Amino acid sequence: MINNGLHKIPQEILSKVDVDQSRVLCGFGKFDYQFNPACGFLHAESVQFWHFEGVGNRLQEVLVDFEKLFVFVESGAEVILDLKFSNNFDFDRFDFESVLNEGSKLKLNVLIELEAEKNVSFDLHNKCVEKFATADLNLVYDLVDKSRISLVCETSFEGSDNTGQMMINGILDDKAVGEVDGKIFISEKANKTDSSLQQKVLLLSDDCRNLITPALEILTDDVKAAHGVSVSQVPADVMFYLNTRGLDLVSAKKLYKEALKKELFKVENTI
Amino acid sequence: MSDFIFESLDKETFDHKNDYSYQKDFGRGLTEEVVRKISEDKNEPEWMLEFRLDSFRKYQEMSMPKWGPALDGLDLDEIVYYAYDKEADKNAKSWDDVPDDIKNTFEKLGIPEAERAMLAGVGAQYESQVVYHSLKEQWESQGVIFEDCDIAINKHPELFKKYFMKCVPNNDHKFAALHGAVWSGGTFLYIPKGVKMDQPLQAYFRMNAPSQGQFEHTLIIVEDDAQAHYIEGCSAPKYGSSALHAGCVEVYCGKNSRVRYSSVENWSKDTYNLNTKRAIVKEGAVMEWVGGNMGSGVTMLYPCSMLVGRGARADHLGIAFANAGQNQDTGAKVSCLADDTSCNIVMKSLSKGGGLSTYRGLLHVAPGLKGVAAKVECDALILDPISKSVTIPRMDIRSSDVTIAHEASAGKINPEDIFYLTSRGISEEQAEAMVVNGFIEPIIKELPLEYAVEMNRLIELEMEGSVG
Repeated sequence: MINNGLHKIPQEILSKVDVDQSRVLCGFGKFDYQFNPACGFLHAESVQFWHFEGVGNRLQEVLVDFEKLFVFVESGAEVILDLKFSNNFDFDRFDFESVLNEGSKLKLNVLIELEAEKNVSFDLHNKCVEKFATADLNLVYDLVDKSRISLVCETSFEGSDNTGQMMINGILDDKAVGEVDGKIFISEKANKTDSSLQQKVLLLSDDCRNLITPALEILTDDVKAAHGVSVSQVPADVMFYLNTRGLDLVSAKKLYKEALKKELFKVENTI
Repeated sequence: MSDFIFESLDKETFDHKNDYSYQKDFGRGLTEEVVRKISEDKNEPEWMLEFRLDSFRKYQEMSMPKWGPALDGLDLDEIVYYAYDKEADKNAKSWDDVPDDIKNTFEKLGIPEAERAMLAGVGAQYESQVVYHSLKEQWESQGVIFEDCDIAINKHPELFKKYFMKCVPNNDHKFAALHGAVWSGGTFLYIPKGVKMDQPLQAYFRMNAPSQGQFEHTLIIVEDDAQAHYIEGCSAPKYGSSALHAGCVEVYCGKNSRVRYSSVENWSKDTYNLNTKRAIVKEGAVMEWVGGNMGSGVTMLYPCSMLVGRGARADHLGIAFANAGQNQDTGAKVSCLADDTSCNIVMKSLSKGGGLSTYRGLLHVAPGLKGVAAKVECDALILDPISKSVTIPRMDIRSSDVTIAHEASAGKINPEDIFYLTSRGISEEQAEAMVVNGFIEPIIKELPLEYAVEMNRLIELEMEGSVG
């Protein structure tokens, strides 16, 4: 069972994350067991604090309708979080911050779908504060109509032997606008860190716009850090194939987009 | 005697100082009087004085950049904005007419020898004044103009006025405004339609006195179907007080022309190198930037290509080396403004001894374009645990029919490479130098052989003592 009542969050934990304590309205207990809540379970207060211990923690298809989430992963803990944002939320800004301790692992999967004139800012920050921590992010944003996203994804490595991969993929159509900043920060203490940042964007309309900045800031030498970006449209041979099968331009693009999204947001069940 | 002109360059060559007593005749800091004096000294037309004064007003109104490296150490009131050695014969056509100490400086830097061996023409600037300029007869007879800008403004007034600071307007940023107010010397290069120069031209800019400012203007106009390769070199001795270089390079590439601009910037480590370089590239033309940034305490340099004609292309290739106390903030900017435009950006950076290398780039694709292709590659090599590397490539894509690829990596020299080389009897220092040479090879190979040798030599000088 999950303890979803209000309870006191230990001071030593709060001191490690950048959070205004007066705004932490709800705290969950320790996820030291296999957990798989039903979709739409976590409707609570605007700021949430999740604290994980042990292995096998998984929150699947969490439909997010809160504004801030702080995740604290204890030493040796393993967590998979699947967050989904599907246009039906009231806030215009979402902040996520995780703190990973020694040997802990976090796999964060995020799907963002915006339409109409929705305009939302997301700030997602994973912090590996001790050695041998792993923070992976797989994020897909799908924007249509006149929706707009301002997305900042940062992973900072502050302990040695950290690892982390960031995959940020965008699909934009109509007059959608994406402003996406990805960043890897490796501190002086984070020797032997192995990290990468990959951003892929599919543009389906001439009226959409994507602004991308994949940044690296590296303060020591014994590290591996790489980033890559690709921006393209639907491949001509794919369009040709779909056209020859009787699909018009709009249907072909839609089919390709759905297939790609499914492929990109393939959520792994293990770490 | 070495086989290559620049192979024997050493630290003394760059750190060599001549007497600078002439500087005391010129004041520090910038006032309207200084701006008027520059214009008067050069016997400029009225429009240029007005332009300078307008730039000066803009400079006073504009604020310092709010991004990039800190410029707190730059005291703009202590800079000497305009100075020259009155003994020097302005714009001499023979090295014999250049005062001995200045001539010796350029001799040490290998410039006259390079001129004899491989160049179509040479310009040499010392402080605010061009002291030597020449162009081989074969190119002059084909209508090529290669002049000091101070001369060109009066000799080719219409051409000069048509292009001067149209590519980099004086309201672009604070240091472009400063440049507009106090520019002095530099190069005016005009290649007529269809003339393909197969020999490079070179200009060398030397600062000698402490706290000096140098603001040379380079204006390159290459007409349709023409071709040119222009090389710039720069250096200054170290004094311990801040010097400022805020030059401006404007390149106009006509239809189907091909222009290569190569530079080896090796200012002293107390120089703030805040240079602006930009090209307008027309239909089917190719603009190539090849650059090495070695010296300078602080560099902010982002050569820019505006691809305005269908099928225009830009290649940006660069190396930045940040050693102790250096902040090399370099990069590239490309704006794709027409169909079928393309660019290839390859930047390599090295950090050592606590130096900071930053790649800062912008790729912009305008709305509704077709067939745009861009590739950006920036790699960083960090040579010790106290050095830093930052990569900030920005991409603003507003068309769907594009193919954009970007890749970057950062890390240290692979220990397995060093182990392999040392096991073959090569010393650790040599092995490290070989790996570094391999890392920068894609850029170096694009330079003419003599300048590739110079760049390698400069990197060797920076690498000295890196092991042990």
